[in-house]
Amino acid sequence: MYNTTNAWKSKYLFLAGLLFILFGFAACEKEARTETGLGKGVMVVNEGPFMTGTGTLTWIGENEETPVTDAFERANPGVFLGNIAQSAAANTNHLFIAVNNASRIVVASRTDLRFAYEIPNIPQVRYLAVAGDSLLYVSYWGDGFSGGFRLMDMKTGTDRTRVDALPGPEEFALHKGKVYVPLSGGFGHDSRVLVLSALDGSVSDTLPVGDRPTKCLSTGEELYLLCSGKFDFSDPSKNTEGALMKLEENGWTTLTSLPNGAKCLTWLPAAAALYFISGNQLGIYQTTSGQLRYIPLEGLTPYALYSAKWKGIEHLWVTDAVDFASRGMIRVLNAEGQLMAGYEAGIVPSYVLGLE
Amino acid sequence: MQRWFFRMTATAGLLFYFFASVAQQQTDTVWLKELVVKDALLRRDSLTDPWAGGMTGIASALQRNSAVYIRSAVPGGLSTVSVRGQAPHQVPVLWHGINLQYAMNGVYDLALLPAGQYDIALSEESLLPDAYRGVSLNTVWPVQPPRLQMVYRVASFGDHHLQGRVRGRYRNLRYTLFGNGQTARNNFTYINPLVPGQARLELPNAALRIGHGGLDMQWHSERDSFEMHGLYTAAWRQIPPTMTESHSDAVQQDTSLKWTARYTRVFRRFALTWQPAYIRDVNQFAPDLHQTELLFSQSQISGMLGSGWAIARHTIQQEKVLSTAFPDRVRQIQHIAQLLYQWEVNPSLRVEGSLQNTWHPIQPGLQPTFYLLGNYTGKRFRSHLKIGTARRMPTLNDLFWPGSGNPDLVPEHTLYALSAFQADIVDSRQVRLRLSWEPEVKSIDQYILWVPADNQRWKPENVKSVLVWSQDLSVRLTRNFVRGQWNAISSLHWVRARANAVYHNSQRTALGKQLAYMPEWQWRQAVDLSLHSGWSARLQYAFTGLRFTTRDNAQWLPPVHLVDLEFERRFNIGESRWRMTMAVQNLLNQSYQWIAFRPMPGRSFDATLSWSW
Repeated sequence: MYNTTNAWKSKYLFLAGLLFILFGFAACEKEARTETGLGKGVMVVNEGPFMTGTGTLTWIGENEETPVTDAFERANPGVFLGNIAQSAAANTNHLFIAVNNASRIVVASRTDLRFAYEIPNIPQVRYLAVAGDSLLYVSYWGDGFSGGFRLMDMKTGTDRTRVDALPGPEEFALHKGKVYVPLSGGFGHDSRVLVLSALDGSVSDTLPVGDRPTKCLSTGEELYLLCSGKFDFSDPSKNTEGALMKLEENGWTTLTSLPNGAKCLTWLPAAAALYFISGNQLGIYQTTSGQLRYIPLEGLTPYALYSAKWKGIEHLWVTDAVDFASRGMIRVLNAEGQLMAGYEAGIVPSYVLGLE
Repeated sequence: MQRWFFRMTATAGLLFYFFASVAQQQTDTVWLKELVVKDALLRRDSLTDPWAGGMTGIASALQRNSAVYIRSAVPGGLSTVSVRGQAPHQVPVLWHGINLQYAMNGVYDLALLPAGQYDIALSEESLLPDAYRGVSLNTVWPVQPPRLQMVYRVASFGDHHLQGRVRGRYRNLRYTLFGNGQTARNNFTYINPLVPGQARLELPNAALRIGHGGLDMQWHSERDSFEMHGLYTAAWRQIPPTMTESHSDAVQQDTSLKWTARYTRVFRRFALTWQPAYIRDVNQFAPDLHQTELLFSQSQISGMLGSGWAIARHTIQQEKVLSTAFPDRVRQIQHIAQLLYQWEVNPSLRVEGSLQNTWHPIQPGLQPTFYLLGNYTGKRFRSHLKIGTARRMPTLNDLFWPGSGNPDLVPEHTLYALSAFQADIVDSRQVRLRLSWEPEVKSIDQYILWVPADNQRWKPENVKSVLVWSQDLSVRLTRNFVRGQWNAISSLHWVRARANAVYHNSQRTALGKQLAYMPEWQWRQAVDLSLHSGWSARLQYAFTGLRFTTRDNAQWLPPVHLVDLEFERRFNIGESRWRMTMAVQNLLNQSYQWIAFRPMPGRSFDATLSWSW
């Protein structure tokens, strides 16, 4: 005899299962993208959301039209850099990424970005530089008032030099056998540049400069310094002017004063010009004539400025943070500030590293 | 009979997978263990709260509602509630009618409120009519309460919780004295972000010590009624770093004193009510210190007017804030005047209208808000419709945060339409099948959103318009049988909250995108079996859809699937009533986050022993 109860049960279970599948879950994952392969190109370091996210890397190959976003995570599934990726440096074999709020340096393979190891416990690490395959230079803010500078020997894993109690060491430069470290003051205020030996890190001098020095730039022959000026967060009337300075035989001289908040000094040798960001403008200082002019960067929220090769020629790379809560953009400009290309980056792109 | 039952089961199963919603407000059917659902109230009959995922307090109870998203950075840590597209700073937390939202940032930490003490309702009829929905907490007064209650709970990640309550009665006076203390060292595991191949790494996480003490009193005579509530809270919590940073653990200390009273005198044709309140909150998160004092006074006259009931209400409240963020103590006073009329057309149909104006330092003039409400309660069908406007003032942070505050902000203005429909398809002694559907829409003009301004500072701005649509569907099936009862409830929540018009270029990336941390889909599914012999079991599945973490919706947290299982045994020895529970939270040992890079616990166990006399 046909069992209607069982028939109902079977139908019910089948229908329930079908509905369950159809109902589904709202999960949606993006499709996996292509793997990252590094050759010549530009690596963009993105800070990520402040305090609640991770920094990322965006890779723009020399001959590629489309950037590879989240390049580090693609190469290392489930692994992330950490909060506020600040800057990067590279030698023959490795890429070093300074992760500020995570207080560590992540070291990845230069060829495929696979995670190699980390250098932990560098509080508020800021900028890096490498010399050959064995030396790594590191500036860090510490507690924001008392940071430091370290010269690490990558072969032995030890510090050749460690200089502590430095107020806000910023983007330093290697120039003619020495390291010039601008001391911005961090959360406070300072106006000095620390000079060390590039070989053993021994301190040779401390030189007074303008208010809040933030970047030293070596063109090979000359050394320049950008000072942003003192900035008072709660009382802007106490702000001071910035300055563009040059190291001469008898010390630092001021080439020109700059508006408060000027930042991100870079250089295009073919144009013999220094470039920086001031508000929403691109500042151009002609080193031969001393002429200073500004070009508006319309429609951008310029956050950082660097120079690197684009289609084999040095160009300006401006990062656009947009609204600091969404993916940013990278704009490639020529020596006259004209837009040549644009690429999507991660959240708050803050550093551009050209890789040869 | 069996054929009929299977047919009904099949039908219920179809509906079970199609619909799920939690009917809110007057006909709330959110399912919680030991709930007595009564007029939008989620009431616990015992002190024990089924803490889910290691969280304690009100947040864990609310989390089971499919329309609620709890934003919690760490178990026992700061927990704020988001309801149906309303961000936490838009959701009032009302303690006996007093809005606890901090004047500084507009949120309130639910972890600072004791579990098991209050009726919890997602109340539409808040006593703060400028909001359209809030979390409403009121003291429970059971008809025949036990005189003494003690509860002890221990969890697998080092959580110990002890509660005690004394209830008494003397003539017309009822009182409850309660206290609880909790210590936790939540050593649970999460994925180490920089060790490929190592799935989990155990790291110390949040540590906390929280204590509550309180007194509730109620007295009434033929014409007078008086009630008083006091609550003191002290909390010490260690906040761990996120998965992506390396700051050393920070410590947050909170103390809170809350007091309110309410006196009503009934005359022949009208009644007078007066409610004062004082609340003082101190929050220390070195080097910041915030202290908020609230003085509150509400006067009300109500009486028959025509064939309805009219209420005129005036509220004055003063907030004083002393904070390291502000150079001077900030004080703001606001007056709220409300006229309310309730008309019972017939025993099934009730209509209500309200007109209100708030005089606030940044809005001193006359800009009234209103609502109209209709409620139909039939034998098997109930419906509820409310349309109105609401206005939310900017917080002190929005206006005056050093270097970033925007004193030109205007209040958010909302036009909303809320509705609920509930039908008992089957309502017999053996079986009850209830369906609920609740659509709603809100258009929020001048939505306050923090955006980056010059020099990389952030600044709040008004976004021209944000549109919020939401739907809730639920099915609840109850089956009584000789030995007990089983219940199954499925509730599905959908919300779309998007900016659809902006003023400034800096806001354009939010255009057409879902607001951050607003999951579009949430689903709750629970099956409960209770036997008259004192055994019961409960299985709950909670799904939370992906949540965007960036304004352009390019990044998100993946969906979360959580399964909880609980067993309970009740028995009596003499006059003592005992209750033991064993529970597993996150049975599937899922790795998940409510806030990006703030990991939540994996599988955990807890046991509770409760004694009442």
